[in-house]
Amino acid sequence: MFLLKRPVAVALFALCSLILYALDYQWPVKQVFLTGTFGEDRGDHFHSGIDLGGGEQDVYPVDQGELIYFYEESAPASVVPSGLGNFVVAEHSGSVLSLYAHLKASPDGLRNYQLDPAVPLGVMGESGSSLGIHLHLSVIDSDTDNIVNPLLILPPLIDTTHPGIRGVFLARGQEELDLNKGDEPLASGRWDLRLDLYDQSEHSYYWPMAPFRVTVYINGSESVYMTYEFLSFEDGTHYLVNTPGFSHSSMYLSETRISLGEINLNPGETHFEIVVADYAGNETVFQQAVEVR
Amino acid sequence: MKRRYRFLLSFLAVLGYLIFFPRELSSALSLTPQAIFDLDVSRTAQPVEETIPFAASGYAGFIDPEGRPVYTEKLRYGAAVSPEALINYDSVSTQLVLRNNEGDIRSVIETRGYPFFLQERLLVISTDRLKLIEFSLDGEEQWRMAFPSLVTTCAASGDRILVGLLNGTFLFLDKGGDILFRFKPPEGRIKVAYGAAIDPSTEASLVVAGIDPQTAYLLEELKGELNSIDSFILDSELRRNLLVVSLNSGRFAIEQNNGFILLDRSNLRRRKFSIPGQLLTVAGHPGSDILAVMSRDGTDRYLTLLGSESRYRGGLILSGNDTGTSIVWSGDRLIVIADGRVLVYHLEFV
Repeated sequence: MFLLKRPVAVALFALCSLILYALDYQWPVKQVFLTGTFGEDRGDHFHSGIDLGGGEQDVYPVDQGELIYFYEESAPASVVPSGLGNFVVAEHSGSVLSLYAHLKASPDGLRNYQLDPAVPLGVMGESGSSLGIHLHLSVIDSDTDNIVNPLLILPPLIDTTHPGIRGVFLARGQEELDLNKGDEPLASGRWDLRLDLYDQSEHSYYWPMAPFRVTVYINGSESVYMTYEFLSFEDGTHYLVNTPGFSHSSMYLSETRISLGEINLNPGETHFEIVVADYAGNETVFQQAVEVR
Repeated sequence: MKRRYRFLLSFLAVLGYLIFFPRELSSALSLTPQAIFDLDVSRTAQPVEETIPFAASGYAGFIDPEGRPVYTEKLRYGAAVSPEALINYDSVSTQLVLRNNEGDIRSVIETRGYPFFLQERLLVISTDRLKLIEFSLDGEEQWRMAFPSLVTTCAASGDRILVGLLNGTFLFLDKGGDILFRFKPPEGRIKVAYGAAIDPSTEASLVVAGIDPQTAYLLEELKGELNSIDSFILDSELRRNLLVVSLNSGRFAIEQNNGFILLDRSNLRRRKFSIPGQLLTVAGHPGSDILAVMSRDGTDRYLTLLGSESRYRGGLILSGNDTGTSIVWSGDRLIVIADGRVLVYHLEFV
């Protein structure tokens, strides 16, 4: 059993409350094509929401609410440029904010302030840093400023496709060993555990997305646990909140390769079991036994 | 009627006129067209010492103080300009190319973020709006800072940078990007930062935040502390960024629906001024308190000149459907960039 640190416990409590509030939430588009997941690598930061494709379509608020901020690229006061393009931020009950980005420009520069789930708040576009027409949706807990994975509060998507593990690696200095090719005994001591992994679903395009949960067991004991549940801000950095906490710069080595931090290997036979799960609970398990000198 | 009563009546009539219509007797202002230049000229043959940056009407680049284009580029997705530098960038890229005012490449910055200049400081905001990085014009990173909430507004003057966040907090950063002051506006059912400006002296700032009510706060730095000097509720309750402009002689202009408020920092007097349509920009004349105000109503853009105490003193109408318009003073010249052209007017007292 592990003890949760207080900030993590508070964040988890807030998340549970948020999920309870979110029972009535709807998808913001009628045709749901998931093209990007929460926590993916975006060069210098975590992806702070999900991306939905499917061509130009109306965008609806996920629940009743009130528009509290909107950004129009062409507005004269839009001094700070926006990679999110034209976007809208709505406030819902339970201190939940939802953000809808890359919208088409509003024809008259105006938006509705009172939001009804049956009335579109905008149209999916490709404004801002966008490679095609899509909607970026973020969810924020305004009590804590935590950025929450929208898939935790939206109705479930049917997904029977398992995530993939392309490789498991141990690195130390310039040396990187592929555990799949691990015939040679390993030296004992501290190693950086690295995974090359991805997820996809029936609703996604065929490009790699981030999974939802990674658990590493070494000789049957849980050694690393991380989930893409929410981003929390602490000491000037956004972390994926879990134990011990992963920042973008410490975690992403490339678009699909992540570092799970250092593990300590003691002499003797060591059994690795790595479980990667997606949002729907589909799991892929990697198992390997290696000899440690 | 006796002659002296007639004289007295005339005197009273003139006095009454002066009291009720004081500006009609003062000189009006007019803008005399002086020159017109096409923006579609990539670069001039002769280098010039002083240039004025612009990004408007589908172009970005530099003009000389007489309005003549020095170096121009067609706008790609967006452009960041300062008197010495131009970055014309695409919507998705990993490199920003910084050119000098003659169009020569000065540096290349590796980033996915979007650039903008505040005064002459180059900032890049990450595409998720959660991080700011300042670069030198040589492309060297000066500092970076991540924020707990989305950046909604930003202003700078001298060594200060003022950042407003979606959670309603304003952060004052020093030259190295460290937080000097934090201001959390007390008013508002909804807490969002909507606008900010810093006085050239960097002593005073004006920030706008909140809904229900939306409030403007005049903040001043004194002896290492930030003090709220004045606050007042704004009627318009705009839920987008609103223009807050620091003008000459300690005045701030704050956008409202169909007008703006002028706040004089020295005596805390406020005047609301109505203009046709939505405010596009305000430019303060360098040698007086005259303001040039550009607004849009439908497809027409109105250029209004305001004299002391916000009285209407003249103006003109620009027709057309151009999306970006810029105005800048160069001495007594008012330079308007609109419809792919530079229009140069001379300010005259009639």
